[in-house]
Amino acid sequence: MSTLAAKLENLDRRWIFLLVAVSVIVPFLYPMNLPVRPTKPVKQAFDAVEALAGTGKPLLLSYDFEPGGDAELGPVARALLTHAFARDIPVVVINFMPAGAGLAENDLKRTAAKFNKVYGKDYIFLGYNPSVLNALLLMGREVRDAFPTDSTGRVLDSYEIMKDVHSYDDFGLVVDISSSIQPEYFIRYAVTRFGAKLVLGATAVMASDFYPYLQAGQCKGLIGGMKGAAEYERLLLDNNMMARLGDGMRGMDSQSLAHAVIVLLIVLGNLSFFLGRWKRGGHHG
Amino acid sequence: MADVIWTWIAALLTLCVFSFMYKDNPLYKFAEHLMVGVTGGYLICLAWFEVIRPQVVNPIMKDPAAWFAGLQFIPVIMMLLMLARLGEKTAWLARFPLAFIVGFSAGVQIPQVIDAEVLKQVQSTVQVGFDGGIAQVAGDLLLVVGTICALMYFFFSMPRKRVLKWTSQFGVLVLMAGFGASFGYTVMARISLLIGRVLFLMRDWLHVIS
Repeated sequence: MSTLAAKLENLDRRWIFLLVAVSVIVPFLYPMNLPVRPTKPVKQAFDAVEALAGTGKPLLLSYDFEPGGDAELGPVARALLTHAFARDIPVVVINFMPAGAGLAENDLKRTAAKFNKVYGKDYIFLGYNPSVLNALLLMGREVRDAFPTDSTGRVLDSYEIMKDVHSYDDFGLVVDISSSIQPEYFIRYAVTRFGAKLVLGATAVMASDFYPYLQAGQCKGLIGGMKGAAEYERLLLDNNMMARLGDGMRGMDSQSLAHAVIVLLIVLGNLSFFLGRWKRGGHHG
Repeated sequence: MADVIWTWIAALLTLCVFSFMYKDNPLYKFAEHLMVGVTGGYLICLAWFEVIRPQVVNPIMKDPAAWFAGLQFIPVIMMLLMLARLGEKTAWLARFPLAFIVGFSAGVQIPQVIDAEVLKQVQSTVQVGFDGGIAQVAGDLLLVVGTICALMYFFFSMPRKRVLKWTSQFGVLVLMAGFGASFGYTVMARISLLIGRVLFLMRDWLHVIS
């Protein structure tokens, strides 16, 4: 027993990397199809977007993540875009993270193409703004003060989608998908100061920080990381808005197996620690 | 064809980064330096095309009189003063725009932070909802008690005896539960990043899954 404890304590960490890698790869080759059940915060987010259908009011989507957060938040953003386009909700996209502009443009173009949506009529990308604080304050008065042109450099009045859109009041819902601090600014200014309705998509690391805002009603829904994306995709599939599994749901089998491996490793680590301590304590009486 | 080439480049760079898990090596260093260089170049281009050109250069070129009359030269001067930090003798000039930024941010943010993150949070914490049945009432009461006990843990002005002892000990349990939830979410986030890369390698590069 003590030999096992010593072996575990001195285990080369590369074995752990290998074990986690195998636990992530195998479910892609042999899917287990574990069920994904939407939780209340994700359902609330879905319902908030659903409530926009038929109102004609656009969805303001802030794309605030960079390639490092794409694995988690890309599926969230694509699921939200799919939902909006499937329900003919106009989408206005903005961006406060420099390396996120390219991701936003790509996702927007690809998802819009699936639904035959037209740029400038059904959706628009206003581009990158370096100052989230100033932009959110200005948008309370006039969107054009924060984003004078779209990402191609054309003035906003030349687009049909922006005809009657001036401030938060003209958006049916604001969604911030972020891997950084932008949600706090949205809550302080867009929600508290200007009364916008907000839904948050956040990386799993950040999600636990935003539950107090959800509980206080300061945000209407919360989509946390890849798991949140999988739940949103489940709702899209159940409502016939998605034809096949998205990246969120595809990753859930791997996520579950990897978590099981990590729980096992935590148990083994603690076991070896206590066995080692018991052995050392035994020598000293 | 271009897509195939870029996919191969991305896949090989991913493998270069993963090779660090075995041990530090020149391939990892190459990928690391490449990323720093590309990111720097990308940010400079973005600053020029998305900020400086549309917000500074174009308005000046289009209508210099209107640009001047609209006092838009003030932020440009502030921007140039920030660059004064690059010179040893002129570095003090950067204090003016910095003072403006600090003053503006503090003035704008303090009332909003108090409103959004203190008052609204306290208000929602002490509201016990009786319309959701016994589970809701129990959950809301636990939230009130847990918040008060967690705050008690950070109350250092009195010795931890009697009531303060028990409440702060319960506060520690509440904090531990919070840290546990955060750690669980962190593990999930890290695994998600690995899943994203594995999905890219297996689907977009190797085509072993559809």
